[in-house]
Amino acid sequence: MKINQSDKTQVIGFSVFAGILLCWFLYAGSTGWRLFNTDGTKQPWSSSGPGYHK
Amino acid sequence: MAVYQFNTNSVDCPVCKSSTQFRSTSANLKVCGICNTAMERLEGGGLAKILALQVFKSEAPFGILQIGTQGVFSKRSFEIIGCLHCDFDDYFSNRYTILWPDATTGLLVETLGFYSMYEKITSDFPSRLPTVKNVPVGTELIEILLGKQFTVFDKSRCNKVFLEGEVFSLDTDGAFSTIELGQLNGDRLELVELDKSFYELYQLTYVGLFELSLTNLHKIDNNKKALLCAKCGKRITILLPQQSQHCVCSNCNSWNEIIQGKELKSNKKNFADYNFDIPVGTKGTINGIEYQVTGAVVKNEVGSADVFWREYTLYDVLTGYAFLAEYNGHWSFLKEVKLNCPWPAHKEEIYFDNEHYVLFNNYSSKITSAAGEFFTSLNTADIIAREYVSPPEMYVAENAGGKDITWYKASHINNNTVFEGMGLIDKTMPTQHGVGPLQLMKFHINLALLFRMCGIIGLVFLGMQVFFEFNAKQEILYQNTFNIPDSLLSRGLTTLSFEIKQASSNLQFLMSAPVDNNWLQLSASLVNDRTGAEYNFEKGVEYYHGYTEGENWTEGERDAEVVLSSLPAGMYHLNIFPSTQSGLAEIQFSVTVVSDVPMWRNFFIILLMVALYPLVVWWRTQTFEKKRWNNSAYNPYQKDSE
Repeated sequence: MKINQSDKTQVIGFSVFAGILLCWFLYAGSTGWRLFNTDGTKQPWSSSGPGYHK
Repeated sequence: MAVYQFNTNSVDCPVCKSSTQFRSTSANLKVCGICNTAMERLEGGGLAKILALQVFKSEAPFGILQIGTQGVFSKRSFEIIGCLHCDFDDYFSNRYTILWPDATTGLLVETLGFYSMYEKITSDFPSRLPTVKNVPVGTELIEILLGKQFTVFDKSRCNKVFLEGEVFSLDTDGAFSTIELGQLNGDRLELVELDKSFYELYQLTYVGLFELSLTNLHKIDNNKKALLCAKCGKRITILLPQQSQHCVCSNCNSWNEIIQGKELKSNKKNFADYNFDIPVGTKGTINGIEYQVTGAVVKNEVGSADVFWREYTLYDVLTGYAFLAEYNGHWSFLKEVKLNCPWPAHKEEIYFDNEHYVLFNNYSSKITSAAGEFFTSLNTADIIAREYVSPPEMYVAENAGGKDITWYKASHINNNTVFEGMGLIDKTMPTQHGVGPLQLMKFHINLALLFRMCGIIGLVFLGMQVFFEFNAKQEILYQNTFNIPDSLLSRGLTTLSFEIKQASSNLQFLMSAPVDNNWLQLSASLVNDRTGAEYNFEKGVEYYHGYTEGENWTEGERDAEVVLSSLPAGMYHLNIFPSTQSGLAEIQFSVTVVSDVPMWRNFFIILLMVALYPLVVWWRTQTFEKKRWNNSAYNPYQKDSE
């Protein structure tokens, strides 16, 4: 397969894109981040109030 | 190369009797420097006889090579000492005799801008040499060197030669035949048949002029010549009187044959008048080489009333002839290449340099309009052309009535590049229609390369996912089964606390309930004991079954799962509010909480993102290629849709 200058640009561009995805994948894998997760909603306080625990 | 035994290099001219010195020990022909007599020296002591050959008389050499030009080939220096200018049936060729440092001679041949060094070799099967002329061009093979099969590419007849300087030649009457042979991916040979049924076999090495480190070249000034049209008498300026064999009168459009660069002979055919986008005589630069347009034709595909294209003949003294072709506003640049590839009679695909070329067209053409001058005949009806494309490049094989096979390599050239290169910026370019046979898609992407990269990247991601899979702890943090009376359902329940130890982890909640034609819905909150942060989710299970119209059926599942992502470390508990169909005495369900579970979903999302771009490019390419192949009789997309 002949690889010309335009192809080299493609290789570099696609490699950068793939590299970004790779970093994202690594980060998600190591932090337990489930991509585009819709299973739960987070709110930073307890809607039940502190007295409700147990 | 020497076959003669000459005692002395000093020879007396048979006409003027003046003494002439041969520089080579093997050259046998020479033009007398005093009286311009063509003579052949005889073996023995200094005698020569008059030859019936014409002496080359011209104000200037044919090309840039001349007597005295020096160069280097295979680390050996040489000097041109003479030339046989040969007038073949269809072209002109210059066979230069070169002098090596040991006073022996060699042969450097120029034909239509191709230069090759000739080395005399001996056939392993000399008895087969007379039969080579009977081998059809481009199809059958013949073994004339041991273990090597050759295809015949060209058969030509030289009718007249012009002698210049000092030359070695076994031919002394100016008439001989040549047959060019090639071995696939190997040798290129020329077999010379002299009229005395004497054969010489040469191995050819094609060289670029720049490879020969040439010095003392002839500076091309202006060789053009004015000749009178044989039909209307109007003056026609011939730009390349030595190379051109045919021309078209700009006044009456009649086809003239150029006789030895001196006079014109009418061919009794007139072409239709046509206003070419690039006028004959235009000088410009294409692909870094300065060309002059010497001829232009309009061709029409035989059997097609509406397929017309234009071809322009370009000439450069160093690199020879090239062509520009324009069809539907799309341009391509063509140059002859010396391929040892047989005539691809039935091949629908060929491979060159590991590239795959697909048959795009197979046609004969006729010339309807012409202007300028040409080195070949303007009767193209017996030429069959087969075009193999791999955009932006194409190979074209031409079979000239079984007489010779010529290969051309074509490449797409932007119309702006053509017009700017030829200095025609102010001219209106021909309007583009459709997709050109060699045109590249805008923002062209090498799809094969892209798919290959995509595959490699996919494998890398798969490897990493497998790594995550094996390293996931999948620790059960909490597990319990609940039996709750219906009366307590509305109060909800709270679990014991459990700890996420990792700095950040996902949590998987698995719920299971033995529902039977029933449902159970859990609304739950995962609460951080310390911060009070809540993560809410809802999930239900339902399971129904029955027997309808003679068939058992089931619907739904008794198990469900929820995954929360990226939870910080800490103590958590669950608040669960179950609900179900009213009227049940008790409900039962179990909940399992697992931390750090593998997420294949991440892998598939990333894989989709990696594949998305190549898929879009593939779709664009398919759409573009379908338009390109609309112009081809070998349209693979038409086959698909049939």
